[in-house]
Amino acid sequence: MKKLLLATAAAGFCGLFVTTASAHDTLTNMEGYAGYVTDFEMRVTHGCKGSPVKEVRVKIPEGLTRISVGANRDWKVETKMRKLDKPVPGDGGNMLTEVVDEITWKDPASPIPAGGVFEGFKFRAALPKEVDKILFFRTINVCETGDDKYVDLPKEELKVNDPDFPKKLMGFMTATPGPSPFLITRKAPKPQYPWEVAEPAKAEMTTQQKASAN
Amino acid sequence: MTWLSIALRSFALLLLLSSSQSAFAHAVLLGSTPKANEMVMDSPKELILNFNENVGPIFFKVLDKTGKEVGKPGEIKPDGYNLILPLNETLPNGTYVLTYRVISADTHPVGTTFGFSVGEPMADMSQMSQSTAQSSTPWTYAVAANRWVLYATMLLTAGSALFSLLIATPGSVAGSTFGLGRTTAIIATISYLLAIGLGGAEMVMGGAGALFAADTWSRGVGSTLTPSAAIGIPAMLVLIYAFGQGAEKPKTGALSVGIVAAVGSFLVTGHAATATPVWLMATVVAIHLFAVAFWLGALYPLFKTTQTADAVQAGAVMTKFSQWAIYSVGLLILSGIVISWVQLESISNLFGNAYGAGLVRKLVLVLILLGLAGYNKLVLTPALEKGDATGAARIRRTIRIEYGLYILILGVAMSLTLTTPPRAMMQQGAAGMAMQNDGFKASVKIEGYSADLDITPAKAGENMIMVTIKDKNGQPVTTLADLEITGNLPAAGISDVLVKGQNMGNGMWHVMFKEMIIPGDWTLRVDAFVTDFDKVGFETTVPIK
Repeated sequence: MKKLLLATAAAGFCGLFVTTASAHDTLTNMEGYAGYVTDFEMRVTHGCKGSPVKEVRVKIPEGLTRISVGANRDWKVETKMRKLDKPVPGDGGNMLTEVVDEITWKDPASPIPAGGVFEGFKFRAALPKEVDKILFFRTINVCETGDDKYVDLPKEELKVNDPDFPKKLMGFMTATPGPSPFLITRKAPKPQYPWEVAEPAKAEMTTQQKASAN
Repeated sequence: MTWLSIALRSFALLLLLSSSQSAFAHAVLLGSTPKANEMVMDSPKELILNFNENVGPIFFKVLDKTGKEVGKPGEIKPDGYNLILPLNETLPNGTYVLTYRVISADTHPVGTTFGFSVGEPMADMSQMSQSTAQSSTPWTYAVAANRWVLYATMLLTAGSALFSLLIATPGSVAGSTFGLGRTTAIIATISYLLAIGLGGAEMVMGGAGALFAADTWSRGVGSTLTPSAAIGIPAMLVLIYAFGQGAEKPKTGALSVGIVAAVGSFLVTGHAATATPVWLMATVVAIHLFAVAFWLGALYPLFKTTQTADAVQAGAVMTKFSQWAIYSVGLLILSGIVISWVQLESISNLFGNAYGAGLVRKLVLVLILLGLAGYNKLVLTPALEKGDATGAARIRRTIRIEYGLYILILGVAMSLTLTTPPRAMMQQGAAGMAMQNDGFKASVKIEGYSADLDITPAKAGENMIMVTIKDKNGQPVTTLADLEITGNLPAAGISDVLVKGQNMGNGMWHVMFKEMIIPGDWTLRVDAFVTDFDKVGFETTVPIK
């Protein structure tokens, strides 16, 4: 009987952590079109065991390029760069030799309350062209007391075309103590921007243009 | 008043005493939070001492290295066998000294001093602890001396009364017996009172003037010396009154009550009466005391008888005494064996410890005494009865020797009350062993790294885990960004209890795992953060008892 009571008490005690940890940092959109320049929002949904969040750090996965961070007047934004093995084309046709490796939002006007509200942290990046790839955005919340690390990766690699993928993904999200926020690249129905296709289509001349050409 | 009614009354008193007293024993410290020489990471909010029994605090404080009391302590809270000292101020990182002195129900003050440290390894404590750990003071010896006087005079008083009840024929030598009884009763009364003050002075380890301080006495009043005096002093007053009424018509009722109460006053305090089972020990100790009192009290009147009365009359008294003495010796030996058995717990404990050595000395002296008594009974008393005049002188000589032996035996008995019996020492030893043998070690290798875990005490409750992460060359990894331990006990539905480590330097991490409250095979995952985002996870199973 005593043991049973103990077990119940302990289960309740530990359940405290399980419930508070059920909603972790996540990306608002967990899917994106491969190759698209995409807006991200990292949502911080709660503090660390009741302590407000005062810093958020996101590690940008490999394969993302053209990263920019949304303006934020309440937080001080810092980025850390990483050298690329080979240069990639940038926004304006220039070649980039390094990309953003890590974004840190810190020193807020006021910290994110420990519970009840969420805050989104915006950034933008070009997704890799590879389809059905799972990109993990490892994230750390630094709180006034302690920190929460969402840096866990699946124990075995998840394959999107595996029939059990939804189940396994759910398992990763719920059974892992600190699952990394993630995004899955999907096949785009069309190129994001018409001018990005290899052979730009010849634009039809307007009547006016025709007239002037003549 | 008959012997039977005395026995009944004393038995009733014993019942009363044993039911009102909780199980006492010599108090020993079984554990503490923080432990002796432990390094804790955060300033403790409270300090806890765990004893084997109820204790009353005399003082309990935490000092810094300069000996200044720190931590702004609140009231000492007793909690079962624990004493809790709340600290209202955080202790800055450093080495501290925990020092306490408590009084157990047997009135023995016990205390120790040990060090612990907060946030950093302990500074060398050897000099500090030696200067304060000494718990014997001149008061300890004063208490012992006074107790010796008290035992001697109380037993003599009670013995004189017993003699007049059982042996003396009115008018013979009862007068001198009563005279001696009154004197010893007065000394005993003072001694009872003095015990409270001296006991208080010993507790506070006061200076020379401590006996005149009110606080000293209030300490003593709070101990079991007070009920002892509360029973003993009236007993002495009753006996003084009874002795004062003359020997022609002895006040047998007053004498009986006085004897029983006098013996009873010794049962509420001291070692033997406080050992469990209380009812058995109280009964046996009472019998022991009655027997000793009878013998001791008889010596002086017998001495007088042989001096004043003619040989035949003296021989008659001696014979009467001898008849009683046979039972008294039997009871003395039997009760002595039971007491020794309870306190020693095994014959082998007679040797190799101070208590056993003292007991052996006492036994040797008792054997000599018994030899003398046997000589008295078998050789001298028959001689006296035959009217051999030299017999009286020889008996007086042996009585003198017996007195000397009694003084020695009481002295040895006193030294026994100052020594921790093996019974209490074993409890302490078991606790010490548990501390040493506790713990679980594990080593896990993965991805070229290895993690060495040391879990203490590996028992349900708070556990301390020391972790060292080493690289493939066996060198400690000193650049870890962080270390976390996640605990799971699937059998009890406990999952993912995460605890952060504290970097101790040199690749060593310290984790206090408070949540291991259920025994079982806990799965521990150690996440060593090689960088802020990259970690190496080690998993191992730890049996928690």
